[in-house]
Amino acid sequence: MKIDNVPMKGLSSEEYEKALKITWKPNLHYTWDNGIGIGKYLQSLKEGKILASYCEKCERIMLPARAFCEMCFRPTDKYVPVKDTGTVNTFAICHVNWDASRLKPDEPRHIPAVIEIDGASSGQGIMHLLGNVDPAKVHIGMKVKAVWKPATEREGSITDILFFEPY
Amino acid sequence: MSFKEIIQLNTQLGYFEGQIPVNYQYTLGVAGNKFFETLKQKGEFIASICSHCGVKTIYPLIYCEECFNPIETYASVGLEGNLYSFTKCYRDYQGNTYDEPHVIGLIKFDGIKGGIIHRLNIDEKDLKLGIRVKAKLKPIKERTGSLDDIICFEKV
Amino acid sequence: MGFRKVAIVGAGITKFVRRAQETGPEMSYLASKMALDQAGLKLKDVEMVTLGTAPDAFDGVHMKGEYLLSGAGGNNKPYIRNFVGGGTGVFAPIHGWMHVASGACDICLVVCSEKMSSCHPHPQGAFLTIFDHTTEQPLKPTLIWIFALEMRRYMETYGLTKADVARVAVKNKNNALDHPSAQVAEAVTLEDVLNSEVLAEPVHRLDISPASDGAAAVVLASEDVAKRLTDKPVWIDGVGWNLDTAYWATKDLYYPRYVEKAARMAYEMAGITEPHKEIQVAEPYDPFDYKELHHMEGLLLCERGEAARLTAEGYTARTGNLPTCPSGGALGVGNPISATGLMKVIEIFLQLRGEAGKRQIPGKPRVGVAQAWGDLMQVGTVIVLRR
Repeated sequence: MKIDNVPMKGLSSEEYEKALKITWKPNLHYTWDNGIGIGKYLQSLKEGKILASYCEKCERIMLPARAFCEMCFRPTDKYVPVKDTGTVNTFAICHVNWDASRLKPDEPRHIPAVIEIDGASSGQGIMHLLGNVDPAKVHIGMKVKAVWKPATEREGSITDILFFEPY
Repeated sequence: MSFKEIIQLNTQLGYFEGQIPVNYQYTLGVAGNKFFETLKQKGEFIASICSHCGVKTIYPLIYCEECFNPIETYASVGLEGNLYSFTKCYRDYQGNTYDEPHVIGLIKFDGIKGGIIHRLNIDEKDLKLGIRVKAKLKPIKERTGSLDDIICFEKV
Repeated sequence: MGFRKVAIVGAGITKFVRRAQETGPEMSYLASKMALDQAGLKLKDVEMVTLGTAPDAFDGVHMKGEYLLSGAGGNNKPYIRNFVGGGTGVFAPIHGWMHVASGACDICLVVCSEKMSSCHPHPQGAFLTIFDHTTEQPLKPTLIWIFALEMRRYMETYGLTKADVARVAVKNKNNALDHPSAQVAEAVTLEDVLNSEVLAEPVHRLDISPASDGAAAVVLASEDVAKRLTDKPVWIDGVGWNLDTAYWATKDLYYPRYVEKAARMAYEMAGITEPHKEIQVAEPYDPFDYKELHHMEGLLLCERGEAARLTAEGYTARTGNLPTCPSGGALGVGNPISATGLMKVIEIFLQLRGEAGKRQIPGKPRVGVAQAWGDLMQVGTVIVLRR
């Protein structure tokens, strides 16, 4: 048995433009219940703090705060605040948007990073953006601190932290 | 075992809003393209015919669901069919009330598997299962090769 | 362990393209029919069907499994869809394996199909909601973020350069020139890859596999049936799958521990104790070039941190000691998510039968491994095939 010839040819962009098509813009709008763990996490973000979960059995301080420990499968013993500083575990300098469109040359680059938060167990990180920093200077191991929105503007969202900056 | 701390006041329950912001363009497929091109240019429906087992299908397919052989034959079935079933809808798919109820029917064609679902423009006193109906099309200049090329089905 | 022996006895695949006119069911039909013809079977011989396809959001059809059913030969049969993100393409034959190994049936058709071109403005956008809706989506992440973050962690942990990683893209895109389904096969050089547009540092455009439309299928049979149908059955010797936490930022990204766990599960079943010696051909999942290296290490095919050096030395070339992605991989053939994984399984199938044509590796290989990966750095699915 050989597979030398395979069926199907693709359409070129011109052929695609000419082909009959149906278009549809779905109205996929959601309200996601926060749940218990994330509910507390977001509430503390509104108050300008980062909240983690503590599991006594595994002795882990986990981020983001969650209602149960997924390792030993017990409910969270208590919620504990952690610092709003951390260390960059990894980062990227991104030139594209979520829909694959390119950033314009004068738009600042997006710098997503995984930040290991001080006070949480080792390796417990969250994803966020870095700001107020020259992309060329960002490095793994860099110490960063959260820059918060003013209290009146905070809504209980991960964006209550505008970004993390070096300190 | 239950969670040790839960939110007690339901005024403190939170939710987060968001979207899945993608939109879609669907090609019609090889068989679908044939059907709608024919509807647009010639103003008639076509069915696919399996040369192995003889089964005819609307909407047409490039393969036979029964015997799984490829299909390359299509034949015109005109615009007339039989009303297999119908209903009267008062609300749209989002739950909003229509200004006027929509009457929708499933129309089948003699000797052909499958059918077409579309709007009916038939007096209530004439609406019965099995009546003969015919598609009313837009004039050729207005047809785009889509289901909207059919305005509705009417009693013959 | 009480499982019956199961073999792959036929395979089918469409071309992988950026946008197909064919609908998902039509693509599924083309691949399924080809697989059945190759196996010498008719649809009525198929007792059960399992179909793997990745998020409904790509094709834009809700309950995609049901939508694809008739083209996948599923009419009026015990038909079920499986889905585990990018790992689907290798999980689908594992799912099919369960159908036959358990004794539930003797002949099972496995199909994978993906039509990503329906998703606008770009299929990448459908991944926006793979991230946690509350703690990550508001930052407007792109799919490329996760890869760029993981790639940088991997590179820095082992002191790799971009060239070390880009060599994989060069190898695979060139390998794919010999694959009839290839969408983006190209005789690229290292400079081409390193000079291509930077999307998210350190990821360049040619480090990434494309979005694609395509379908693939295999026919699985029990031992008695397989031996009647072909004199070259390829046995599914080991299967493994493992998923990791969705809190993906809480584990170190430089090593895919879930791939290792899935691999160990498969190797144990196959009686393989020294994979780096016993595996003769490998198809790890390569949506980005660094992933091939990442997965080679997770599959225990080499020591951690060594994959890049071995690639530079030609170890993974078709004529090397452990040909890796001889098909051309996702980077060269294309990446219609679920169909890609199955394409890799099909490649091992053909290689072990000596029927891979221009892509055939020397030495009459008898044992190979295919692996897929997906989601938020979460899933490893592994299958070991043996002649």
